[in-house]
Parts: sequence; structure tokens; C-alpha cells
Amino acid sequence: MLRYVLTRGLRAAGVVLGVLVGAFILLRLSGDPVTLFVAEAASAEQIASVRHQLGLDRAVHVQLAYFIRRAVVGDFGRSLRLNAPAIEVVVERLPRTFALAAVAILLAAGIGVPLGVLSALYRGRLPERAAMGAAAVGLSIPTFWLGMMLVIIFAVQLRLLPTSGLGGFPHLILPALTLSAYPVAAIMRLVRSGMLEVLGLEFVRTARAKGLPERTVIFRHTLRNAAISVVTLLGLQFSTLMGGAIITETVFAWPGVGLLLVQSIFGRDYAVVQTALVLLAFCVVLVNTGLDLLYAWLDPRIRVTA
Amino acid sequence: MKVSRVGVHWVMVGVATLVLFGATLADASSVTVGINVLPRTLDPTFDTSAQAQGVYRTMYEPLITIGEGGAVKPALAQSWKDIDPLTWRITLRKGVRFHNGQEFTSADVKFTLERVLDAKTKAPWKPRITLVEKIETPDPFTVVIKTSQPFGTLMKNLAVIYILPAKLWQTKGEEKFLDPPVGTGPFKFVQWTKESVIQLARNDSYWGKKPQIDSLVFKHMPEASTRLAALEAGEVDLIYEVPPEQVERLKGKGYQVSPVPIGFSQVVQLKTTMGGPLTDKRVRQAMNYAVDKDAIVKSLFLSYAMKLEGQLAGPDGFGYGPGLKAYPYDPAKAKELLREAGYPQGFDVVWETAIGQYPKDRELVEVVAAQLAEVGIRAKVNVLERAARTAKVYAGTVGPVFTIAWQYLPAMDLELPYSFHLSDSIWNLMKEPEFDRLFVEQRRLTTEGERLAALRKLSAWFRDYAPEIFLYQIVAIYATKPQVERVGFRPDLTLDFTEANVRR
Repeated sequence: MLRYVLTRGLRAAGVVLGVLVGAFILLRLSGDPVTLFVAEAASAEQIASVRHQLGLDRAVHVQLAYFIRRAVVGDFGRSLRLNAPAIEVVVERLPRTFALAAVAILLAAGIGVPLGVLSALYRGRLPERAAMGAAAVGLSIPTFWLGMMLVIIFAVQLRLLPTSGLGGFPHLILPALTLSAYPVAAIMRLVRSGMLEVLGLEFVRTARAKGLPERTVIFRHTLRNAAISVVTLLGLQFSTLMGGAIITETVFAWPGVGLLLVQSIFGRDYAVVQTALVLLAFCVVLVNTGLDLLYAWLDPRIRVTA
Repeated sequence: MKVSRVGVHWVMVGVATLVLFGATLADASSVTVGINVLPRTLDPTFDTSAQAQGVYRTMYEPLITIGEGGAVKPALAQSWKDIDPLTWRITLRKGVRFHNGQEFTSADVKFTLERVLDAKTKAPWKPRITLVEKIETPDPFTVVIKTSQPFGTLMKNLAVIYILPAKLWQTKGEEKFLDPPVGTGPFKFVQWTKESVIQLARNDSYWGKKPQIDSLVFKHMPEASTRLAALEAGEVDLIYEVPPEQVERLKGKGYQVSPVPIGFSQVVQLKTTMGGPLTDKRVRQAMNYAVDKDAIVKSLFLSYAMKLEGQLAGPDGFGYGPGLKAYPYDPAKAKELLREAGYPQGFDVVWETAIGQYPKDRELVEVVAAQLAEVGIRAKVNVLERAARTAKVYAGTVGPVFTIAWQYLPAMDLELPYSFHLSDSIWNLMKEPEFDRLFVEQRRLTTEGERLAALRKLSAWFRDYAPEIFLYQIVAIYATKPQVERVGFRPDLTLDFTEANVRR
């Protein structure tokens, strides 16, 4: 088990390091950040001095090594746009994005699992067709459009919920709903196929033959077996949600990491972009590694074969 | 008819409720603004975006403000005079207090200017006052500014320098002295959630006319659709940047729509420093004749843009020449000029542009390139990523044709866009000793009338030289709820809420 934990840990560290290098290189490729931090009528000397202050006049590999050495201790430099340590700027907004993702995940599980069970039980009949049709829409609908539609219906027309901005729970509902459209559909489909697969297996037949009530057969035997893959999917959806937050947070003016990332990219605030990318990647890796370890603990077969 | 006693009671309760409700409405009038860009910091020294300036102007005040047509108006300074070409004497307003109760004096002015001038501060506005050499304070309400060269636009350039409390800086230090923000403006700071909301309240001890509304809130909404939804859901009273296509719909629903020309001139720059046909004045003029400005304004912007009259500012800019006219749309004349210049078959030229930087810039490039093609000028459009374009602009290697909106706000003065056309500018747009001479001439003049005449002379020269295809002045469109009255929309993209009122 220790070996397994170690290899997983090393692999996770490797991914985070890869993201660090990737974030650094991509940002350097996309243009010279100096031009945005000098005044409109800057002279050549002023530009050179800013470049020196930012360390941009050194060789690229020196900059990279320096960047990684500092990043390891949580120092990602200062946000030139917000005039504060980049890590502080990002960490301040992380809980807001997490709140959004958490509600979206809860919604996804709360809506996706029952509908998936329903469509497995009513295979080929109206409930399944309706649910699967909705799933197809959920998987293919553009987040931006869905968000605006929800706002127009629930905020502008019915005036039940606020359109945008930071606030209490009501402010969370529409963005979380928008964000959950994809995971709801994905989970619904997974639960359905998982259920159908298990429903045909021998132990289910045995359970039925034993004379167990249908409810017990479905919830204790079938759904439980399908649940493992649902938990996996929830973990995977976490990274999708972090990506989706970029659009959703912009549409709903929700000041989380997604909106910060967009603003920082346009503002060429590369310290913040790097920090946000690395921290988000770190969270995704953490969640996935955590889930891996959880399975291994739950199911000995996994840690033996891995 | 007999009215039961119970009924009467209910009527009384109802009336009382209405009265109380009305009273609370009367007590708290507030305006909430959906703004596309929120200031990054509340220290007014660092964020130069026009939207940030608009928020700063409610809390802080400069020595002077810019009024109609770029005229200088007193604010914290009551009067000023140039005692000799290198010395300005400014008399300050008395009886002004900062939000924390401290009196505003010349020490605050000296502190603020010196902080901007200090290289350590890294103030982006520093170049605006870089000719200032020394600030003296002979008494609490007099400031004497010495400049290293004659500096005719000194007072104008002070419009973006907000006066900050020196005493607080001494006691709380650089990092903390504006936490919470303290200024002298008509509104005072209440609360700020970064990238989300800024909340302000009326400053009841304001020296000037006190605002009518009790509170003012700015909500960050980067997306136009989000702002529109918030306005229509009644969550905000006023929104920035309404897309022109939405104007008729909003008007139909009873909203007030205010189009305001702002200090940005959209042009297509024709650099004369990279060789080729553009070095010939006739070619540049031909390109101006080849483009139908009226059609662009009408079809792309539904007339929410103002055609430029062959100069880099609209009538709201200081230096605008009322006698100058736009190049008329005349493709035949364009062809004739091209023939004269030795390009009867036209020519190929590289046009570098970013997309999404200026309103409708993609459509703009398509239309203008098509019209240039009509007279034989084949523009090879090269779309650059925004940062890449900016980098090339600063390196002086962009173009030779590129899209740009020249900014003449906040001073609303043509000196700023002209300064980029000087021979020694890093933008490398043109090298013309005659232009440089005229420019330096106007900068030395300290009386407004003389400088205006000099700038107009420069504008006439500039139209003829045609270093750009003059297109249009950008118009900002705001929408307000019908109940909100008398918000002042200024050409520098800031809003004035001192007169604003919410009608019931």
C-alpha cells in the first residue's frame, strides 16, 4: 500500500511540475508582458528598466528555474495589475469557485442519479426517452447560452433570482445550475448504462429469485455497484467544472478564479495567470489522487494490479 | 354605507404602512451602476482606465477638472497663474475637508505630486507632470510649482492627479494609508469586494453642492448581456456600454438611452517611416478619399459614432478646428491621386490589426479593406494577437498600416495624440521636422487662447499631411432606468452623480 501511495504521489508531483513548466512557456510564447506595464509614452530606457525589474532580461531557462524554485515555496511573484502577491489574489478567490463547483456537483448527483435510475428502469419507454433527450441537450448546449437563458427566464422575466454578482445562496443557484448542465447529463447516462449492465448480471437474478423486494434489489444491489463509476466520474467532472467556471463566472460576474483568470489574461498579468493555472491544476490532481487512494483502500484488487 | 370598525382599522393600518413605506423610500435613494471594468485598486494613482477614473472622481478630487471643449475648470484649486514661463502659482480652495475630518492644505498637494514624481511609486501618470521640478508651499493655501521647461499644459495634466491626505500617509505608511480610501470628493467609501462591488455613501460635509442620492454602488459586470439582464431585472439603475443593436429595444421598454461621444478617435494609421507608397502624401490622401466614412458610421454603428472632420478629435477636444472638413468619399479622386503618385495599378500593403480591441474592429477592417480594393489598394490583413500587436506597436515595427483609436481623454486635448506622432516617439509613425516644430511651439504657450490657435494650425497641417485615414469618434452608450435623472455623462467616460436624483 505504501508503495502504491508513493508512486501515486510522485506521479501527481510530476503532473504539477509539468503544469508549472507549461504555464511558464505558454505565457512567454504569447508576447512581451513588459509593454503593458509601462506608461503609454514610455521611453526605451523605461522599458528596459521595467524588463530588468521583472527579470525578463535574463535567459529563459534561468527564468524558469527561478520561477519553479520560488513556486515550490508558494511565491509566484506579485500581480502587477492588482499590486498584491499573486498567491494571495488567487487564494482569496478560490473558495468562491469551490462553492460554485460544490453546489454544481451536488446538483449533478442529486438530479443525475435519480434520472439515470429512472431511465434504466423504464428502458425504451417515455421516461428514458425524455431523460436521454435532456442529457443530449445538456451535453451539447453552450454554457454561455444556457446561462443567459436561465438569467432571462428566472431573473429578468420571473424575477425569482438575482441575475449576477456575489451574494448569498440565491446568487449561487443560477451559475451552479449552468455549471451543472454537463455533469448532470454525463452522470445520468453513466448511471443508466451502469444500472443496465448490472441489472443483467447473475447476482441480481439471484437476489430477485431469493424473493427480495424490488426496491432492495435496485438500491442495495444494483445502484451500489453502479456507484463506483459514478464516484470516479464526479472526480473527473471536478476538472471540467474548474474549466467551465471560466465562462460561467464571466457571464454571472461571479468574482472567482475563473473570472480572475479571464481578466488577468486580458490584462497580461502573467504572475496571476500562472498562479491560477498551477493552483487549479494542483486541486484537480489532489482530488484525483485522493480518489485513487480511496479506491485502493476500498478495493484491494486495484492496489495489487496497479 | 356603513363602514365596519374593523374595516376602518385596516384602512388606517394600510395608510400608515404606505406612509412608512414612502418615508423609507424618501430616506434612502440610491443609484446602482453596472460597470464593465471595475478599478483594480482604490488608490487612484495606479489604474488609468477611464472606468476607474470615473469611480475615483466620486471619492477623490483633482486640483482642476476638464469642462466643455477641453476648458480647465477649478476644483480643489480656486485659481492659478503663470508668474513667469517656469513658475505657476496655484491658490487652493479653503474649508475643504478630507473624509476623515482633516483639513485639506497645500501640504497635501505637495505630498501628492511628489509621490507621483517619485520613481519608487511607479505612477503611470508620471510622464504627464514629469516637467515639474519643484513644489513649494509658501502658505497653507498656496502652491508654487516650478517647471524645468515652459509647460503650457501643466494645469490640464493635473486633472488626473487626485489629491491624497499627506497626514494619513505619514501615520499609516504607503501600504495602508488608503485602506479605507480617504479623499475629499462628494461620495465617501463604504465597502469594496474586489472585482465585484464598490459601495459609496454621500459625503455630508462636502464643500460643494452635496449629492442628492444617499448611496452609490458600482457592480462589476464584464459581459454586455449580463449588464442588460441586470438592468431589465431591476438590479441596477444604469449600465455602461450598451451595444448599439440593443438601443431601440431598450428605448421601446422605456429606458433612457444616452449616447455620449468620448475622447477616442478611431483611425487607420498610415506609417510613413517604413518606405513604400505610404511615404507619398498623395497616396495617403487618396486612401482618405477612398473610404466612405458616413456609410461606416451608419451601417456598422447605426449612427452611434461621429465622423471625424479630418482631425484626431471631435468638437469636444481642445485644438479641434471648426473650419476643417472630412475628406469626402470620392473614389475617382482617389484613383487620380494614385495615378499622379505613380501607382495607376494600385499597390499591395500590409495591414496589421488585433481583433476585439476596439468596437467592431473586425467589421471595420473588412469594410475599409474592401473600399481600398475598389481603388486598387490591396491590403493584406494580418490579424495579430492583442499582446503581440501591442509589442510590435511599442517596438515601432507594426504596420505600415494598423488600426488604432487615439485617446485624447482625460485632458480632452489634442496634445496627447499629437505627441505620439513626434519624430522621437517610440511609435515611429512619421518623421516630420515641420510637425515637430509646430508641436513644440504650442507646448511653450501658456495662455489658453494662443495655444488653441497654435493647435488649430497644427490640426490643419495634420489633415493635409494625412498620416491616417480619419474615421470616427467613438460614442459610449449608457442606459438608465426612467426614474433616474440628471446623471452627468462626461466625454472622458466618467459619470457625474452630484446632481443625480431618483424620481418616484
